[in-house]
Formats: sequence, structure tokens, C-alpha cells
Amino acid sequence: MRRLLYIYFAVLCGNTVMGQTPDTPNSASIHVNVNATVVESIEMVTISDFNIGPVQPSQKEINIDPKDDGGAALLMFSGTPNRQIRVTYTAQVQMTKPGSPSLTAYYSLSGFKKNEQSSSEIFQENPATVTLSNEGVYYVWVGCRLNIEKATSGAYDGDCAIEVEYN
Amino acid sequence: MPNVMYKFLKIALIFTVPVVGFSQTIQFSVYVQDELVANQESDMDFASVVAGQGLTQINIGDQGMGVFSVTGNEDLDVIVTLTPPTGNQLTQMTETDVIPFTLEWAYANHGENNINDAVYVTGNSARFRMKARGSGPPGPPPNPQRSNYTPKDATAYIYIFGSIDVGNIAPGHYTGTVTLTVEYD
Repeated sequence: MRRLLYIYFAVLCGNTVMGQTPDTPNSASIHVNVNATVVESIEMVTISDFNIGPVQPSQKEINIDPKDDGGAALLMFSGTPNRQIRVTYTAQVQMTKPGSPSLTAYYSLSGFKKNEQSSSEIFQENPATVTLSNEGVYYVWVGCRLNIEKATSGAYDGDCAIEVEYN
Repeated sequence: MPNVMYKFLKIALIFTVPVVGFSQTIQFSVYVQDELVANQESDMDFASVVAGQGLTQINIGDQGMGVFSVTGNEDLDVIVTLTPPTGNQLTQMTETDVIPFTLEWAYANHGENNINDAVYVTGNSARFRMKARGSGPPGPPPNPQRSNYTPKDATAYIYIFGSIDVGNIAPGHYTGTVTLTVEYD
């Protein structure tokens, strides 16, 4: 009789504890997304170089306005339509010639979605963020200002680097 | 016949009396298991890549690294399993093109989100203590689980990085899902 009671109690206790097994999670699961946005490559094509024209001996400065001057260089960027791109350029370049003091050239850029120089807007920031057209193109005109007062005859060299990448 | 009736009564008493008494006299306690909480701190993002760019890597600590956090009993070991995207690929909704993805990961279990504490993992699963022991001889064993003791929690960080191989594929947004599963060992 006593043994039966013990067994009965044990069964009851066991059932009760099992019924209250905690459902608090001792495991967890979660996700993280891996993202990549694939864009077409950007191409930069030089449509026309600077056209400074003849420099007069008395001339003190060369000034090519990228927005108005027909001598401005013209580049075309092409890539994924309607994508933002970031254009970075060297705004100030030392032009050198062996045996002569260097000259400082100040570059400025303007841009537009169409090949319409007069509609272009001067880049106020460097890098400048602009958007490719529906056709995936963007035009940039490059102007410069160069004091040639102390220049001597001959060729001066300097590189203006322009970089473009997707934003 | 009377003898048989007597035995029947005894059995009936055995099964009825204890039930009445049990609810008033039996005490027991239940230890509630420690909770594990996993959070996503940041997605992994390769940002813009150019079609045909080839192998593009996000290293640990780079911008674009994915981060999970796991919070639980600092004394206990956990098993963390990462499941990479199906086929180890990032896919796009409307295109059949895919980007092969190689998952790499590490964990930091010193209680801080600090990649300098990171332990690199080979394979998709790792077992570690929620809070790493300091240097020196091993400390005492963990406090036994009991009802009047609340263990301290610690947060471990899981860093997700790796590479993609971008071929000449259609432009667009490609995505995949890495699933983290963590459980007490």
C-alpha cells in the first residue's frame, strides 16, 4: 500500500513538472541581408580637347570659361541611365617647364545631361555629384584660368586628373 | 465475494486520497532556462559594383561588413551556425544572373563590439563561451543553475564579411540572406 502511494506521487509530480517545462527560448535565429548593386561600367570619352588658340605676347591671362567658351574641353561620361555619379577633378595644377618658374592653372568644370554647353551648370563642389541622363550619358566641359604674365616661350606641362565613379 | 469488495475499496482510496492532498502539500521549483537573444546590427552591403568588376572583397572592419549580436548567459557555451544564401549566390528578382558569394565570419566574445577581439571561424559553425575567460588559469566552474540565482548576461558579436565575384551580368540589385542560428551547448 505504501509503495503504491509513492509510485502514485512520483507519477503525479513528474507529470506536473513536465507540464511546466519552460518555453523560454534557449536558441535564437535571425537573418542578415547581403546586398550588391551592379551597375554598368562608366566610360569617359574625350570629345574635344582644349582649344586655347594663339596667345599674344602681351596677354597676361588665359581664361576659358567652361560654360561659355568654345575652347573648353568636352568630355562625355556614359553608364547606367539615371544613376548618380561622382566627378572628382584636380582644381589646381602646376604647369612646369624646365628652367622656368611654374605656372598655376585653375580648372573649373560645368556639366549637363545633353551636349548643350550653354545649358550646363558650373560644378560648385569637388567632387560633384550629378545624374546620368535617361540615355545614360552626361557631358562635362573643362575650363581653366592661367596667369601667363611670367611665362616664357615654350611648352608647359601639367596634368588635370578627372575621375568619375558611381555614387 | 466480500473479500473481493474489500480489495476494491482499498484501491479506490489509493487513487483518490493523494489527489486531494497533493495540491496542498507538494512543492517543487522550476528553473527557467536562460534566454538567448539575437539581433541584426547591420546588413552586409557591397554597395555599387561594376558589371565585370570581378572579385570584390569586404574585409572585417570594412564599411559594408554585416554584424549580428547575441546576448545570453555569460557562463554558458553557445553553438553559432551560419547558413549562407542558397547556392552561395546573390540573386536578383527579375534576372537569372547570379553573383557567387563566399561567406567569411568571426566572433568577438569579450563583451564589446570590437573587431580587435575577433576570432576567425573556419566553416559554418563555431562553439564558444558567451563571455571569454580572461588570461591566466581557468576560473571556477559556472554557478549552478538554481532558482534564486540570476546569471549575468553578456553580448557576443558576429562579424560577416567575404567576397563576391561580379561577372558581366545584368545591372540591378542582387541580394541574399545569411541566417544565424544560436543555441546553448
